[in-house]
Amino acid sequence: MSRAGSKLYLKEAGPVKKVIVAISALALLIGFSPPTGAGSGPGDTAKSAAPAGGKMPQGIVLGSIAKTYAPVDFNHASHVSNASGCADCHHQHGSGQSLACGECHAIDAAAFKKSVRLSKIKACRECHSAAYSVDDPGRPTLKAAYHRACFKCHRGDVGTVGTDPKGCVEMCHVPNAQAKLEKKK
Amino acid sequence: MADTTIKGPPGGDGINGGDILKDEGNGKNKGTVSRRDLLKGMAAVGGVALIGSSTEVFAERTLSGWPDRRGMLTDLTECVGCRTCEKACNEANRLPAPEVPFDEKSVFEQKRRPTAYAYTVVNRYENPKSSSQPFYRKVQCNHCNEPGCASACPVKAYTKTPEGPVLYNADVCFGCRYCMVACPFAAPAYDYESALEPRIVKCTMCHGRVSKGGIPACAEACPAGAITFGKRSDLVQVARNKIRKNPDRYLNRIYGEYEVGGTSWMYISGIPFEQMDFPSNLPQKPLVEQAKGFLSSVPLVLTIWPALLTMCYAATRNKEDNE
Repeated sequence: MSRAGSKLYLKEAGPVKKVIVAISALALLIGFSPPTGAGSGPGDTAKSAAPAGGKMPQGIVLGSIAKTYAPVDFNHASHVSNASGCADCHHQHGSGQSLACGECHAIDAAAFKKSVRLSKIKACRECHSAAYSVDDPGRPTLKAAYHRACFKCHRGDVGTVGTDPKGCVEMCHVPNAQAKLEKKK
Repeated sequence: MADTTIKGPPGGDGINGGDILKDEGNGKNKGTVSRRDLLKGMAAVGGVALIGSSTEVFAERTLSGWPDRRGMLTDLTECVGCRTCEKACNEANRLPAPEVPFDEKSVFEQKRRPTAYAYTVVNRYENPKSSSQPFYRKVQCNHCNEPGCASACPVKAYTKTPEGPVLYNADVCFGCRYCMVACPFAAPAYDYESALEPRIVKCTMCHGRVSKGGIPACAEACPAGAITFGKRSDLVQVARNKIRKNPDRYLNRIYGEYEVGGTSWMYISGIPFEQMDFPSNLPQKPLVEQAKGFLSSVPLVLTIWPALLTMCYAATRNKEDNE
């Protein structure tokens, strides 16, 4: 099973992972500054690129696979303030192929929660390629991985995605034709 | 014919049991075929023709020789009803633009089925646990492993390809629409607009795109990754893994794994399939099996019965003539 199939549902993680999830959740609650969201795809650019000091990007333009719609202006800051933790979207901790704790954290009880190396936040594209792989149908493409992360909240709860096909445009997407018109103006 | 070889015993003017008993030993001693032997043979051949036990002759064709055949898996829990797949299908098959736009939700007010102008449609079903997260079911041809449409078609307009898709050839179709009756999934649609050139239309699993190395348009377009394409055997494993890892999210069933002998297009769901109008009364054996006994007896009945009856007639006629 691909890691993506398990990304959204922490309950499926094994006992060891559950501990890791619990620790990281605790760490988040106590309030270490969330790591930088690394670019999520080739060409997806952070508007205010954060250095590895603890500042996260305010906005990210998700445009690497834009085809039907114009690139999405993703407001990272507002998502940080609304999400219960980084793992809501960055699913490293819920992933079936998590890195070892020491890859990102210092194994030191005192420093553990503040020791996240921001560069270790993996980009979605590192596992989810933009091209569909017929030989690995269980692994969501980059497009599916993006959308599933969004649909965790933006399906029924926030916005009309899931009840109205127009929800996609209302929530995030601007059709290409409309985007061009707006540019001309 | 049979004046010398078939000798009717005196007094035997019928073929009822009483006459047969009277025949005992009568014909055998004369070195000819007795009426009894004839009747025995007739009964045996006629019985075979009647009950169709010749199905053994038409041994069931298994598909194990096509291990690489492709399939599709729709994860109904992931579908958000955006209708992007409908739009992609429309564009890939160069169909006319629909009367109601693809971003219109009013189409969900009634249950739709595939038509000549929409090879796939998405229907909405209530979610008993959350009204804001209804379920959606994508409907299209399921590309059965042993398709009922192909077995019903009198002119062999359907072909089950080794790659998985069930394809249709409009050139030989004469518009009988037996396939529409035979399909348990209501997949084939009839083009009622062209009466002179009858045409059945249905999903081809984008055979053209796939043979060029692509994937079906709906699978490529789906933003949620709800539609996946790959080796059927791989997809069964993907589905099993999903169910095993998320028992709260999925029912422990892959629809299409065994239904009517297995379909290329399979589904996993969070609510019972019956609640999404999936046919629930389908046998696990291919539909062809249901009709095979009868259908295979038809040629026998048509060829052997006239001969038998003629022989019967000749046998009795012979006696009458003698009298």
